[in-house]
Amino acid sequence: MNEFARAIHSIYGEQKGVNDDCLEPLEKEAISMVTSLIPTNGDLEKYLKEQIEAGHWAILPLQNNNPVIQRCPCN
Amino acid sequence: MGNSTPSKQQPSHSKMPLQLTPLYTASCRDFISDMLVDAISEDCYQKQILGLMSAYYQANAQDFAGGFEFLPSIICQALFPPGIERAIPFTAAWQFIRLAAKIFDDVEDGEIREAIPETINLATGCLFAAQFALSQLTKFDVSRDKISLVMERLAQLSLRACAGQHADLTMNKNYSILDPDGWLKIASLKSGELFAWAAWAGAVAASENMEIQSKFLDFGQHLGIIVQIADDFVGLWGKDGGDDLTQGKSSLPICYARLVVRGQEREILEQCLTEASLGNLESSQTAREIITRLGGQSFLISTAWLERQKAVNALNVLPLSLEKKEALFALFDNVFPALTHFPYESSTPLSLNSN
Repeated sequence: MNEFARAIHSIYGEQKGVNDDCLEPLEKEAISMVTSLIPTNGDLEKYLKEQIEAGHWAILPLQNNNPVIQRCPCN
Repeated sequence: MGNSTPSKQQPSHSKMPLQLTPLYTASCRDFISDMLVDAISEDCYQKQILGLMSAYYQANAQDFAGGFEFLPSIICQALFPPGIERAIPFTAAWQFIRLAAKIFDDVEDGEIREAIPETINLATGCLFAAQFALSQLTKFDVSRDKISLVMERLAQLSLRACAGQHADLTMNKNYSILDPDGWLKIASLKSGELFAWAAWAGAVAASENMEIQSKFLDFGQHLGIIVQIADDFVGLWGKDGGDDLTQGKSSLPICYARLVVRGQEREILEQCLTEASLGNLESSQTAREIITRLGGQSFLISTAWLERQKAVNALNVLPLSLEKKEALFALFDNVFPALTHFPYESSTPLSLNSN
């Protein structure tokens, strides 16, 4: 999981030289998925906000006793 | 990269988890009430436990609606609907365990400050109530051997959960630095093991097939981990985000940030984390911004995706209909709705068994 964390961080262009050989195939798939769906300019928060405001996303997870319960409108 | 637009983002799937009928959930509540009446002559204590459980039901209405607290019954319904009555004692035991864990957790976190001895005694009662609920399986034509097995497995996995909680408490108390690997190990123990039991129990109620039971053990393990990921996401970015920072918790985004941060930003982050744990809200905000900038949200979302994918892989080999599989995987999306928008792994699409 540590190597996976480093690989995710490398998407943000601040850390180079991650060795893909250390990653499981599924982790490589996850990184590919993230890089294809999420902007890499580091402004993820702004992107998520736009998604939520546009009604496409409900990013916050459901949690016990948490008032911030947002169901995805697509459901 | 970076050219995705909001308008292009469509959910890859949007299934709802399997739903139980109101009549069935009422039967579960009646079972719990009746077994407590049978077991306890002390009326006050019995009412206290039922009151706690009722409050828990209401506070977690979303979880209940999604089947989260009825996990054994949901699994049983997916595998073998005619056996769902037999899942009631399993679900009752699961709810008692969850309630006990929640109470103990709140006491340990200092969130309960009044009547602590009485509260601990109620939580202890819930642990025994879980065992008693399973003993009632004899009334559902479950063999003694099977009952013994499910009780043994519950005791074993509960012990592992306690070991995970102990490690978590010790880490926080000693201000130890935890990396994502260490976080995963603790989350697997403290949450994964209990969810593994619940999912496995549902499969045991439905089937004698040990391979099926084993696959649901894996499924539950990943579900339990994703609950912890979701909890940590909300702890930093939820409406009251920053709670985990002010409480000095070693949550997953903090573990991630500490692993990847470099140079001068490392010093700033550590200083902000220290000040945030002392109640400095400005430092809390700065720490959150740094963690976000480092890719903390991406990491948590992709880690949640990984856990869901592992659960998909565990169940994909089973002869379940696509509809039922999707309904089971929707449990994950219910915990972490953003996953609705992320596809399953491209190389392993859901298999189309026709059962």
